[in-house]
Amino acid sequence: MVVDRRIAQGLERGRPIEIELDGEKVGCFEGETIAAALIASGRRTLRHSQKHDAPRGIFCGMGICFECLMTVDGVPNVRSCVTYVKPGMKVETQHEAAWKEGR
Amino acid sequence: MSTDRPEVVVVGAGVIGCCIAYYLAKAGIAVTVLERGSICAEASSANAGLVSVSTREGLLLSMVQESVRLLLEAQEETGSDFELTRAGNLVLLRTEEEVAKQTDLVEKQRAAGLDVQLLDPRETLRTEPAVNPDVLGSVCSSLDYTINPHALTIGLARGAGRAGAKLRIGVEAIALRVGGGKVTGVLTTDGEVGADVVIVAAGAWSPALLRSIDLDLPVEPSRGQILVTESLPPLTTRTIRDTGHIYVRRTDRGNYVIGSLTERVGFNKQLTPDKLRDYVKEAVGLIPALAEVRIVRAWAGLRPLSPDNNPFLGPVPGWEGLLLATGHSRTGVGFSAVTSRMIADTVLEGKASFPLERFSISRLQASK
Repeated sequence: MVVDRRIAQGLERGRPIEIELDGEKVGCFEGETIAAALIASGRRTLRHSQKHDAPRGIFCGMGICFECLMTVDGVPNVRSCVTYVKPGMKVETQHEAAWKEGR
Repeated sequence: MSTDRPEVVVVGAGVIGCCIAYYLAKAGIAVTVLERGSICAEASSANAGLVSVSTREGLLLSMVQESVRLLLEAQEETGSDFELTRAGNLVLLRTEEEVAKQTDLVEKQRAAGLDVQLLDPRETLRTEPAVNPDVLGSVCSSLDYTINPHALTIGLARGAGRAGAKLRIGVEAIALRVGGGKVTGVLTTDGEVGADVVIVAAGAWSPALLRSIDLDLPVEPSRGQILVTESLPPLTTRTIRDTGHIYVRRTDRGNYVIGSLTERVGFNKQLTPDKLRDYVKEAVGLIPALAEVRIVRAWAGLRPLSPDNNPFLGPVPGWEGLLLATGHSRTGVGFSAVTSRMIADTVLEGKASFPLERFSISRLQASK
């Protein structure tokens, strides 16, 4: 079940669009950040930490803590809380523990 | 050394001082390390942790191979993860002259039985797809290791401490105490420390201490600047380098470390934008995708540069009880374990497994 956590009334939204999260379509609105769009769709985990492979989500929400890093259109470590959604944008959850090996 | 169970003072808690203390303490020697700042503060931290094997020959090759063996052993014994990894090296060749020169060198190394290969551009890109496609070739080796220099130094310091070594942090050695041609101790900012043996492992600051006994050690500080990027999914596996001094090394966590020239600017650890720009430009020239990556930190340190880039190891003629373990230039981390073992064996058994004469302070006078 997907619960929409957006405020229902009293504000004007952008055009409805879709982004892709790990290959799955997520509906959202232009003018929203990636993190806002994902949390509104009920998703709290944005990446998994390198050391313990533990889930990480929005922490500061204003671009300074670097906890909400995601891979966006192939670019790793994009701060999802300060990056606006765009139609067709491909967003991926980072599994950073896998970066450790890579040899 | 003359005393049966000597009291030893090591000056400097860099990788060399900590490793010597580790070996001596393990052998039951009473050892005190004096460190004016903090563990792994200077040259030991201002490097990318490259343990270059394939670039060496002769005695230095045998020594670095032994160093790798000893590092693996110490990693096992201390239970600290030094992140010692056989990453390999890929040296990119960008001019016909570089190709010609390296072709000869590789032939020589292969004749000596080393696993080193000359690759053409196609093979280079197949081996490391992220490197600059404009290369004329590369030298590929599987022999080279990387290590985390902080994890190494701190792991050795902990190991030394557990074995009974005393680490006195924030205590600076000011002068050597001598009597009758023998070193008897060290004057420090926290009083006198008596010793049968004093080992000077104070990197670029060693000459200042040795001036107290009018010994002129030709070691000068050389600045190296280091940059590190954010952690990334793997672009490369090997250490990628040019034929000069610039290298790009992937850490175990996926950060890329970029270093480092030899800048002779005295005791100056400032970061300078002109040099950092050169580093970054060269690094992007090696791995173009780095152009899009964030740099998270940069720092500088002073390496103890000797005239022939080889360390000063072992006794000093005319001074009983004094041992040098300094001047490692750009090779301190790679050669840490073997040179420390040589110094420890000199204290313990009066001899070392590699010829100390080659690293004596007298070698430079002899060659004049």
